[in-house]
Amino acid sequence: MSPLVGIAGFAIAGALAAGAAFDGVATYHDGLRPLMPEYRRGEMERADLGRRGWAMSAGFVRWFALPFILVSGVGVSHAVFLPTDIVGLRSARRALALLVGGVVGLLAGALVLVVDFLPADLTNTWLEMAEPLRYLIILLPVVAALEYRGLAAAVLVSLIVVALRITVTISTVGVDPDAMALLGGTLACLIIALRERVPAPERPEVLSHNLYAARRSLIYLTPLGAVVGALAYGGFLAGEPGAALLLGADLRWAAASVAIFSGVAFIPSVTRSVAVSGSASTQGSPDWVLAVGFLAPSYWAAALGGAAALSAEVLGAPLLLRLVDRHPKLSVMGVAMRHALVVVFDLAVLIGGAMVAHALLPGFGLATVVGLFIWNEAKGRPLMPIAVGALGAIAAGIVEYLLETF
Amino acid sequence: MTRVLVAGLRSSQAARIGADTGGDSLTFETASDFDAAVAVASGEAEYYVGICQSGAGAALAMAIGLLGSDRARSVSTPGRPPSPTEIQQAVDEGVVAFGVPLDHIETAVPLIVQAILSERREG
Repeated sequence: MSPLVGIAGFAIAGALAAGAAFDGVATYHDGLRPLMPEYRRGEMERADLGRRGWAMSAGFVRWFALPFILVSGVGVSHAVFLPTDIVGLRSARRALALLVGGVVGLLAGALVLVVDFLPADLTNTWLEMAEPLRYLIILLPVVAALEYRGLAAAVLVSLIVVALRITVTISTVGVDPDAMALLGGTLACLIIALRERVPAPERPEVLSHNLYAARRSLIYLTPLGAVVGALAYGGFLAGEPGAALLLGADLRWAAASVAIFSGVAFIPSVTRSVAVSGSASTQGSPDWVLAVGFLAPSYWAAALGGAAALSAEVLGAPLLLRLVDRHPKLSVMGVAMRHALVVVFDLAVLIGGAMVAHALLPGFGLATVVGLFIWNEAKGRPLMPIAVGALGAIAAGIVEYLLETF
Repeated sequence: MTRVLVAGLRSSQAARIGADTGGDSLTFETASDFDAAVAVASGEAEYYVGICQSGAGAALAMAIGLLGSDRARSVSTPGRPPSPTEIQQAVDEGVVAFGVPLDHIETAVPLIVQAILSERREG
């Protein structure tokens, strides 16, 4: 896929996502989804909803997505789908939503393309930010187990993860041992959570109705799944900063394993939010649909797989809700896994950012990242912590480039 | 005694912070988002605090669904620390479910507690 076709893919994805938001059948932001019943009934002002949407999304676009697009050269879903949520909800007509959503997607795609024109030395150095992360991803299930049930569970999952990592390393399989260890650890977390089972509770009729109503989103989401699958295969799109860094560094299995871990973590909360709202999640439970694209053997397989995966999640939502209801610890484990994603990624990117800033601007670069971290903590975190290392590395890179050029 | 239920990421830590700030007037317990929202809806608890990365998504989805959007509000968002005035205003306006971003637990939870205590004193 040429970069220009990639940009066209972003534009189509943006248009479809904005159309889904306009119809109130899918949103990317979990916080907007529960508002969709009131929106569909016409009980919420579009302007008010747009303001609320931007208030809850702006920090993610600024600090979670944009810095990482710059350092990785890979699009981050939040930069496309959070703005298109707002475009869709704010637009007075469907055609306008599709058009403006397409423009937003096109701009996000263009931003990804711009990175290709930056000095290669600089962008290659920025990508080294993925180096700590590629090894630290094996901590995700361990931290989740620690949060879920304490030290004993963490030790058990650690043993599984370490054994898998060693086995894959000494074998001749040729796949990423850290990614395999993470997948094994994810499975262990799932098994631990699935051990407890309760009788299926009485489900309010409205929830079942909502899950079936969410299928109206398929007219948008099936083609959207195909587009994001192809974009993921082409290395253009990842679901969050960590996967973007890993994909930028061409660590596809690592990016996919993170996306699958994240998908499992979010399934309980996303499924419940679909059940209370009757609206689907624009890209599915983040970000397992993208994992299909990362691992697919070709563009066509990625598109087909992405469409099938996203459609299956929407169609299978009643089964997923039944699973979540019968295994209440899945939700508890989901919370623990989401906690692990934040803790491990914040730290890994801070370390990676400090390393890269130091490499670009010895001494001063390191001081910039640490200084920024201290300032952010002292000020009550006006920056999302994950952005600190990336912003420090970007600043060090710009200064180093200017010093070298002039 | 006012009962506050805390759900989501690092809910135990948030409950501890709430209990430390609230003294004897408030009790803090952890619960799942669904159970916590149901308890507030049925009057078994007075307030709900939900925590997720954004403070608006998983933190509040159940609460909005069961309590309504006018009774659930995010107290801050990533990149925008909580404001004591806005939190007090939310409590005074009858908001009973608060969404808190993970980054702001240490600052937002004490502010929510103070706002509830202030509203209870005046009410």
